[in-house]
Amino acid sequence: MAKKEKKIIFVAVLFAAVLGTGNAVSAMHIMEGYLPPGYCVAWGIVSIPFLVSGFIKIKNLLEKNRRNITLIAMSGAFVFVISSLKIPSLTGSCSHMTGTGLGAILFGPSVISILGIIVLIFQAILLAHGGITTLGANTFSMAIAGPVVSYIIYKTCQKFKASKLVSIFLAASIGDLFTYCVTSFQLALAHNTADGVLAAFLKFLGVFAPTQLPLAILEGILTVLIVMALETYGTQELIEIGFIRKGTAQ
Amino acid sequence: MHTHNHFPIDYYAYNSAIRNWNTSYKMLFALAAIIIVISSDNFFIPVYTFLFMGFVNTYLARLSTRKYLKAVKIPFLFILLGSIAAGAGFSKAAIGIINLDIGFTYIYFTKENITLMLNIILKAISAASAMYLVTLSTPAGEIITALKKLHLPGIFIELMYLIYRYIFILSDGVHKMHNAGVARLGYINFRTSCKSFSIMLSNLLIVSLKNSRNYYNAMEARCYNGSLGFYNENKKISKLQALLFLIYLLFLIIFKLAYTM
Repeated sequence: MAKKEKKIIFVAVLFAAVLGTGNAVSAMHIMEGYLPPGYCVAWGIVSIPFLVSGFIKIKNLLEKNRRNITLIAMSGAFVFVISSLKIPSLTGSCSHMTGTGLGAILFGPSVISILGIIVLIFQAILLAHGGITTLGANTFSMAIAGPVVSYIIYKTCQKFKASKLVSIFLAASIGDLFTYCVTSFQLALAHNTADGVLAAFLKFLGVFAPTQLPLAILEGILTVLIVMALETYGTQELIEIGFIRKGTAQ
Repeated sequence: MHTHNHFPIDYYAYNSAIRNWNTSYKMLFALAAIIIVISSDNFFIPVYTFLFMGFVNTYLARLSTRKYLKAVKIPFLFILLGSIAAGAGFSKAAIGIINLDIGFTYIYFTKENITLMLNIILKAISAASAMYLVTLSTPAGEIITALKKLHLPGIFIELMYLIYRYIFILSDGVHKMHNAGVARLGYINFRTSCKSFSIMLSNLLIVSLKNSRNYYNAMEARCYNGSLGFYNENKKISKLQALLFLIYLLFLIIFKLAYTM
């Protein structure tokens, strides 16, 4: 076979494999079995301090009022359901939101860390997205790093009196992008063969960019639309979860 | 995977023929297999584990092969893209056995890198099949009960129980709202889809936050005082099940011996 033919066949097979599977593009979960044991444990350990702080926060919320438990659980279920839904797309591909950006803006990043790990466990059990050995790594990228960045961006924008919608858009989409960068970094640390971590990092970024970049922008837009609708119809609920203070609502 | 249930995996779990197996046993078996697979450095262990788990998950669990393979396919796109990124190299010269000219540089794959890619792909698929031993045969409620034995904090377990139940309530709501939206020309194009989608989700959040207060009242009316109790069947591990695990290990040991000799 000529070299060129080989090349064409290879590319064709690749395209067929990518397009033909028709599978969901999950929001960058590292799948089961993808990380060597050492990395599974290490990322789990890195996540622990954040989880502990989130746990203490939830405990305090419950001590303040025991009734908060259904509210917190409902928020967790909400994040799961957002992440399990097919979002509208231009190309007809099938992708999912993370939902943790919205969660971080509404409920704060420490609560989201605990809700995030529970959501990830259910995603592994019910949707086969992610896995048990990669739970630590996924928790760090999706339930900690992304939401924390979203929250910081949102608060910074608020401080500089940026418009609320712009700050929400930036928070959600950059949070999403950060999750994607962290995941690529995690993969690069575990799988760098010849050319070092940095090159591997860039390769993982590149390979997932076509699915993740549009997703981040779409997640930003959708989050803005959701918050807009929430502010119009659900002011009382937003006050209840502490997103807007009494009196500041229009 | 289209069933009337929103989450087919959950549906299969309730109908599995090996649902009555001891949950902790299944979880430990799967975890052991996954750890063995991801620590392995050859092709045999992942392939063997995949075939073994395939046998348990389809033949013993009475799940059709077609449905099972569909489930196995779920992580496929990630595995494929991830492995390409792990295996491909960039160079000015065509130094691999497969070289793609993309203008300014070559994307090359050397023989070692292709072996590595195959290894990663096999490990991932094999580990996923081991995880299906638990998830395709055990309803999430029973998994949470088994997690309780790890002495995780009570609040954490409590939240898991509640979230698991609310997920189904919310998915039901989403399903109905989606239908209502479609019936009113809601999702006809991309722009409208975005609008309908976000209105649906914000409505979902408002309704669910309202309802969460009622759910607490309902639980309180049924004597909820901070802990949910569920009926658990005490499932014993049968000799046959123990034997299955031993057979799995036995072949691994035999292989290890044959491999080192």
